[in-house]
Amino acid sequence: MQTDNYWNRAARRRAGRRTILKGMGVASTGAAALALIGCGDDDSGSGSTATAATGTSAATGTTAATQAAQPKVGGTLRWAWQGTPHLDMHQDSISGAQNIVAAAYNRLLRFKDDAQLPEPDLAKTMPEQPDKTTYIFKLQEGVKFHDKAPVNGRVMKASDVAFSLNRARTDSPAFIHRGDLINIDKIEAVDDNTLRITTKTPDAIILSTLAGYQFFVLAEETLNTFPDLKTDKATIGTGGFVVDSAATDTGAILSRHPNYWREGKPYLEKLQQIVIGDQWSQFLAGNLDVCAIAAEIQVGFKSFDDVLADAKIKAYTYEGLSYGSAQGHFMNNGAPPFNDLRVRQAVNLILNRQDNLEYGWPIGAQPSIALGYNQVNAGFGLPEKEVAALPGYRKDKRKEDVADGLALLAAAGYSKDKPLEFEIMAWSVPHRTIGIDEIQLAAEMYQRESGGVMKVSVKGLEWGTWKAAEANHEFQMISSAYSMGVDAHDALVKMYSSTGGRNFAQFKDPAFDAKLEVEKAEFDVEKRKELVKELVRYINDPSRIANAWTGTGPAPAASLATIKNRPTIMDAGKVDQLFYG
Amino acid sequence: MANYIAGRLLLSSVTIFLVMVIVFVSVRLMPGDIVDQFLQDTGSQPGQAEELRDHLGLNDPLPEQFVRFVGGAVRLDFGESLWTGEEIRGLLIDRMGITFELGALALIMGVVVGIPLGVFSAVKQSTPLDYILRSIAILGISIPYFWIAIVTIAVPAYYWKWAPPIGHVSILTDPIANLEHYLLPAFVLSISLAGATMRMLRATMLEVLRLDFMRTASAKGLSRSVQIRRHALRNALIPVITLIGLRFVFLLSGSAIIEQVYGLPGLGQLLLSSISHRDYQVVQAVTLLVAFIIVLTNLLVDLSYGLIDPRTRIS
Amino acid sequence: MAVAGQQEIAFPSPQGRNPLRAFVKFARAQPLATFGLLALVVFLFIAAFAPMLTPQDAYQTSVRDALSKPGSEHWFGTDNLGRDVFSRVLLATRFSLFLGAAATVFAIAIYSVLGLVSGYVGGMIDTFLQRLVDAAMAIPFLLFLLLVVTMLGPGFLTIAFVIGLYNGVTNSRVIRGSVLSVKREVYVEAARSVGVPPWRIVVRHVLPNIMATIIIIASLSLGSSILAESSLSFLGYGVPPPDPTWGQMMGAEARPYVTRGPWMAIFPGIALSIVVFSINVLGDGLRDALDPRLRNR
Repeated sequence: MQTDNYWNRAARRRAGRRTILKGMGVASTGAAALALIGCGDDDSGSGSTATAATGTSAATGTTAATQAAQPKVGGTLRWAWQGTPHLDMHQDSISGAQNIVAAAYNRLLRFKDDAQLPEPDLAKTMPEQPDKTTYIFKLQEGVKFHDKAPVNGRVMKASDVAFSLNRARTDSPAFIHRGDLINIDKIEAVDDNTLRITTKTPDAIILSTLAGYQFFVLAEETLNTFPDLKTDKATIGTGGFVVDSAATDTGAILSRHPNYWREGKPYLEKLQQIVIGDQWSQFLAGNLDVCAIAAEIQVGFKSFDDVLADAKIKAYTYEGLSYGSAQGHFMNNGAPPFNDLRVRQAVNLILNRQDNLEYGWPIGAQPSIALGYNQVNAGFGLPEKEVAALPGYRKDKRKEDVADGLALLAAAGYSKDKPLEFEIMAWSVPHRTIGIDEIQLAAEMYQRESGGVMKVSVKGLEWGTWKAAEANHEFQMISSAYSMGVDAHDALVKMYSSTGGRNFAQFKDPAFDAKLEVEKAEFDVEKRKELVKELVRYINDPSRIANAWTGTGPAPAASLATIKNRPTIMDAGKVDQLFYG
Repeated sequence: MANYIAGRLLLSSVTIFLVMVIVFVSVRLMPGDIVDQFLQDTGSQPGQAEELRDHLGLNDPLPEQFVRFVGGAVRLDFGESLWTGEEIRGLLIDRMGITFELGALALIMGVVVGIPLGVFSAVKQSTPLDYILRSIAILGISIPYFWIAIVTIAVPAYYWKWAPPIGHVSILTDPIANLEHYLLPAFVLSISLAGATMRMLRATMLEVLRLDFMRTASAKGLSRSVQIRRHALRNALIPVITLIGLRFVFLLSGSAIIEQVYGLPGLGQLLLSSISHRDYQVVQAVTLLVAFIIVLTNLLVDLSYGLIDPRTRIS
Repeated sequence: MAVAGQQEIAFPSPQGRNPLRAFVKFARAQPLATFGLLALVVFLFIAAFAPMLTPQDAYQTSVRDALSKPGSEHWFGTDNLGRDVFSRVLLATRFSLFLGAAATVFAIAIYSVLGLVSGYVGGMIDTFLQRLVDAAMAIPFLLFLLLVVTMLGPGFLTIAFVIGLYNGVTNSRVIRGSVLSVKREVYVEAARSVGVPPWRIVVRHVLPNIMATIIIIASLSLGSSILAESSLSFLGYGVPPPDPTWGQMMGAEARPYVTRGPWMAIFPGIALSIVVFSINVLGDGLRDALDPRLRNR
C-alpha cells in the first residue's frame, strides 16, 4: 500500500532507545471518584486483574522524606469506601472490599514498591524453581491468625495456604478468579512450612498473579463454621488488622492485630472505612484522611500541589498506581467503516492525542499504547521517545500526519462531500475518560482535525446497555479507558488475544497469540520487558493496526499532612507500615 | 364493610400481580444482562458466559423463571442477588430501615411545617402574608429536591470548606450521629411535601370555612381560634391525610436520588444499582415490596376515608 | 389532585371591554398568576430567540477555559468543557420548555383517550384499563421512567414520550371521573336515548365539559415533566448532548464538578425553578378561574 510511507519510515527508525521512566508514586485510596449508580467507573472494577498495586517512592512536593521518619504508634485512618456487597473476594468480581481484605489477610506474595513485581509476603523468600513448572515456597514461621472463633489465633501452616488457593480456583462459575489460576496444575503442602505449586506450562506471570489481593490466605476450619467468607465474623486472616465490623451500609472498622507476625507493626490503631458519596468535599471538611484527587478536581491546575494549595488544605499528594488504566479509541474491525485498514490507519494519524489525554488526566498524562501507567513506568512500555516519534503521536509533524491520514481516507473513497461517518460510543454519564463529555470532545476533534472529512456523532448509553453493546460488538467506535490489569501481559491478552475479554477490535492473529505464549514463558524480567515491547510494536504495525490508543495517566490521591510512610494503601498488603507522624 | 375490604384486597392482589408481570417482562427487555458485566475483565475462556448464565438460571424458560419468582415471593423468599449472591430478603430488610427512617423524618418535618402554614395562609387569605406563604409553598414543589441537595453539599464545600456529615450510621449504635446524618437529607426531601401539604390544607380550609356549620359556630359566638381549631381544621385535614398518604409513597420511591447524594444505602439506591447491573432478582423484589407498600397505603387511606365519611364507602 | 367535574368554563370574559383593563382586573385578583404569566412570556421570548440572545456560542467547547469562575467574561462561569454557562442556560430554555411541552402533549393525548374510553365505554374495558392504571401507579415513578427509557433507548422525543406516558396514565383516572359524572347528566342521557352516535356525544357534550379538567391537569403536567426530566438527567438517563436542557446541565453535567464549580449546577437550577414556579402559579390561577368551587374568593 503506497500510502503507508510514514508508517514504514517510522518503523525503520525504531531503534532500541531506552528511557527508563522514573518509577513514581504509589497507592490508591478508594476507587476513582463519584461512582454513579453504585457501579462506579470502569476502573473501579471487576474481574481477576483489576488491581495492580505497586511501588512507593517519589512523592511530590511536600511529601518528600517521609520514609525515614521514626514510626509512631496509634491513630485512626479514615478513608472513603463505596461499600461492597461482601468480603469473600474469592467470589467477588467487583471491587470494593480489597482494602479491607488486604489489611485483614496476608497472601503468599505481595507487590514490590517500585514495580508490579511480586515480593514475599507469607513466603520467606521468593520460591525455588527446580524446573520451569515447579515452585517451592518456604513459609514464614510463627504466623498467627486473628483471635476469632473458630480459628482462635492458631499458627498458620502450609496446608492453609494450599487450601486457600485451591478454594479460589474452585471449579464453579461463582469463583470468578479461577480463570487467573487456570494454568496451575497443583497446589500442595509438602510439610507445615513448605508449599509446592506446579503449573501446566512455564508461566512467568503466575507469581504476579498470586500476589493479587484476591489470593489471600485463610484458615481451613473457618469454612466449617461459616458457609462462606462474606461476613465480618468470617473474615479471619493473619494480616495486620482485625475486622471488627463491616457492612455495606455502615462501612468497616478494623483494629490492630496484637499478635501480628511482623515485629512492631502495624503502627496504626484503627482503620475506618466510611461509605461516602462525594469524597472530595468530605476531605476538604476534614472528615477523611485520604482521598483520591479525581480528574474533575485537577481541572485548571498544573500540579497536584496546586490543587491542594487552591483548596487551602494542608495535605500530601501521591500518585496511586493501583489501576493501570489506558485510554483509546477502539474500532470494530469486523464492520464498516473500520473493517477497512486504511480507515483505521487514518484514524490513528488524524487523532489528536494531546487534547484527549489532557482531558482524561489533566495532570501527568502520557501517551502509551495498550499499557497502563504502572506498566509503562515499570519499563514494559515503549520508551517515551519512541512513542513520541510514531506517526500520529508526533507533535512536531502533526500537519504531515494529518495530510497522510486524509490521503488514506481519500484512497478509501472519503472526501468532504462524502465524509467518513461514524459513531463513538461511551457511557451516558459525564466522566473524563469513559463518559459522554469525553466522546463529545473526541467527535469534535475528529471533525476539526480532518477538516470535515470525518463526520462523527456520539452515542451515550446507560451502563448496562453500554456493556451489552461492548460484549456483542454492537458499535463502531468506543472511546474509553479500561483497567489494564496487574501485568503488562494481562493487558495484551485482554485487548488483543483471540479470546480476550476486551478484544473489542476483534483482533485475531494466531502468530500474535503464539508470541504471547512465548513472552509468558520468559522468566527473566528484563528479557520479558523487551518481549512485551516487541508485542506492542507488533500490534502497532501499520499493516495490522486495530485500535487508536491515546495514553494513560496517574491516579493521584491526597492524604492529610500527618500521614507518613505512604504504602500502597489499598491492596498491596502494606497498610501495616503506615503511621501518623 | 367486610365485603368492601375483601373486594379491595382482591383488586389489590390483581394490581400487584400485574406489577410483577410488567416488571418481570420489562427488566428482561432492557438490553444486556448481568453476565456481560461480570465478565468484563475475565471472559478469556470461550463458553464461560453461557456457563455463567446457566449457573444463574438466566437460560431457563421465562415462564419457569416467572413461576419461580412468584412462588418464592409468596413464601417471602426472593432468592439471592445475581450480582452479589446476597440473600435478598435480608437485603430488603436492611435497606428498608434506612429508607423508612428517611421517609418518616421527612414526613414529620413536612407535616409539622406544612400544616400550620396552611392554616395561617387560609385564615389570612389574600393578605400579603398569604401571598408570601403561597409563593413559598409553590416554590417548595417547584425546586428539584436533588438540586437543593447538591447545592447543600457543593456550596459550603467550595466556599467554606465545610461539608455536612454524609453516610449512614445505624440508629442502634449511635442515635445522635444517626440524626445528624439524616436531618439534612430528610429536610431536603420534606420541602416539597411541606409545600404540597400547605397548598392542599389552604384550599380545603378555605372550602370548609365557607360551609354552613362554620357560620353556625360563628353565630354561637365561638372565638375565631376555637372555630378554626375545633371545626375547620379537623374537617380540612381529611383530604390532607390522603395527600400525605400518597406523598409518603412518593418519599419511598423518590428518595433514590437523595440517598445517592447523601450516601445513604436505602432501597432507592439498591434499585438504581440493580437496574444498571441488570440484577433482575433484586429489581423484582424491590419493586414488589414498594408496590405492596403503595397498594397497602392506598387501601388504608381509603379505609380511613370510609370510616370518617360513610358516603364514600360504596365507591 | 382533586379536581371535580366542571360544567362551565368561566374565563374572565373580556368581551367588549378594554383588554388592558381586563388584564389589570385579572392581575388584581391573581397577582401570583400574573407574575407567572409574565415570567413565562419572558422565558418563551428567550426560548424563541435564544440563539440570537446568547452572548457566546453555547456549543463552543474550549477545554482550556473549563470551570472558569463567574465574572465579567462569563457571567455564569464556564462548564467542564469550557462552554459559557449563561449562554447555555438561555439556550436550554428552548429545549427544556419544548421537552416539557412535548411531554405534556403526549400526556394530554394519553389521559384524554384513556379517560374517555374508560369512563364512557365502561364495562370490561374500563375494568381492564383501570387495573393497568392501578399497576402503573403502584410502580415507583423513577423505576417506571428508567425501565422504559432504557428499553426504548435514549433520545429527546423518547424521554418526552416516557414522561408523558407516566403522567398520562396516572392522570387518566381524574378524566375518567369527570367523564363519569358528565355521562350521568340529563342532556347526555337524552342525546343517547334519541340515538345520537357515541362519538358525537363525546365530541359535542362530553369533551367540552371536561375541557377545564384537561387544561388544569396539563398545566400541572408541564411543570412536573420539566422536573422529571431533570431527575432522569441526574441519573444519566437524560436528553443526549449536545443540546442543553436545564436538567442535563445541573444534573448529569454538573454532578462530578459541584465541588469545583458549583455555578454549573446553581444557575440552571435557578432558571428551572423559576419556570416551574411560574407554571405552577399560573396553573393555580387557571384552576381558580376554571373551578367554580374555588372561584369566588
